[in-house]
Amino acid sequence: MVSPDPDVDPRLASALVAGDDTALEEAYERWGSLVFTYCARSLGDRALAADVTQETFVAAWRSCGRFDARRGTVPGWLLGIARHKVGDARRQLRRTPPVATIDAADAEDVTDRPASSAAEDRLAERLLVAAALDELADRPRRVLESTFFEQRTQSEVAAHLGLPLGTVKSDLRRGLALLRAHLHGLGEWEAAP
Amino acid sequence: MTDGHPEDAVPDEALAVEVAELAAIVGDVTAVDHDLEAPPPGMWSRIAAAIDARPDEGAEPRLVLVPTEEPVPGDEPAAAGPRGSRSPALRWAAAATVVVALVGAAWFLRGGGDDAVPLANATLEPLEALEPAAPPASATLVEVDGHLEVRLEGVDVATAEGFVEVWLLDDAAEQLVSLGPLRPDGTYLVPDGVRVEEFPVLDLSVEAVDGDPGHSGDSVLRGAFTV
Repeated sequence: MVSPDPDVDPRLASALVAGDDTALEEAYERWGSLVFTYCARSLGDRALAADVTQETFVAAWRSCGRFDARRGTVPGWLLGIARHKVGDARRQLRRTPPVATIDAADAEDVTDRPASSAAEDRLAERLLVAAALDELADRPRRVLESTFFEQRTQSEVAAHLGLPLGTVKSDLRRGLALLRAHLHGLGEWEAAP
Repeated sequence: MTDGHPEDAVPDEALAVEVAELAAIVGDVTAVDHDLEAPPPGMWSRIAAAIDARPDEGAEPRLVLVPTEEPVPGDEPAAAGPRGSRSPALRWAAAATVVVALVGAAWFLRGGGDDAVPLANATLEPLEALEPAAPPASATLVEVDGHLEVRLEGVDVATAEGFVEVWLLDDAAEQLVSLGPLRPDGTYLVPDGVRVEEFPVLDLSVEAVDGDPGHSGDSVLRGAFTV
């Protein structure tokens, strides 16, 4: 689902902004699993997750004219929408209390809950980072993994992977930019509701 | 290739700072986060139908029941078509795959079977009336020989006393239709004339054996039919 070619993203983003429905389908093909996995792991329910995934892409379609590629990537933006839709679904589930309490007409006092919990935010971030790592070519991915998971300094990564320090720095620079762009996309939906 | 540039001989401090900022998030990523789950088949068809059918509408998806003549064993998403000329495919999707998507999505959940045509499905989530809460269950709305049936799966409600009754409720949970007590075969006939569009919420309650035909108010599982 995740293309190894990160350059496809700006092109796809501008096609989305232009309202090209083939771009939405391409976005679905690339990130449908990401969105569905997020929904399924947040809600713990595949059928509901399928509904919320559908709502996410429909909402993305309706708001894609406002998507700003300078402020985040498409997958980050999609997960930002999904996070809100998961919150909506949760509220929907809570809005129908048992019948006995209905006659009190208090069916509306359930919407104070925040749209998303901190755990869901962490999950969205982790999935986006994983997606970003998967998008990178082998060498930069190894540089990032060595940096973050083995906690090596730039010089240590260079020695460990047998790369010039300059290569490590440029891989790191591009990799971090991709991580940040994905994570920024997550907040984009809130910035332009 | 970069050894000739003197600045490449020293680590980049700004990058190190950025790494430190992101370390908390990236460090939490595990193998599970790379292991993505594919959405159910037919999902794109559902999305394509939704965006084409309601282009300017802000409303949430509504239950739409579309009777069909025969079961469709599976659903070829529009994604399988050739790239480059996708708009006609979307138009086609709007015209035709509403039915296919409905059937396909529910068919996937049921895994195929008899002459029943799946129309919608519902996930039933536990409500508080029962301790311990019942595990979630699922329901499919099917059409069989011109009649609507609700088929329940995975219902596991332990009641010390009384029995479990199955209901259809309206969105506001104010109007209700009884589908009768829990049955071992999980199949419930929807009375002719009852429009599931108006009673889209499936509800299971615990009822006392007290002769009162009304709903006890002790709902244990509930979910709305969606397509």
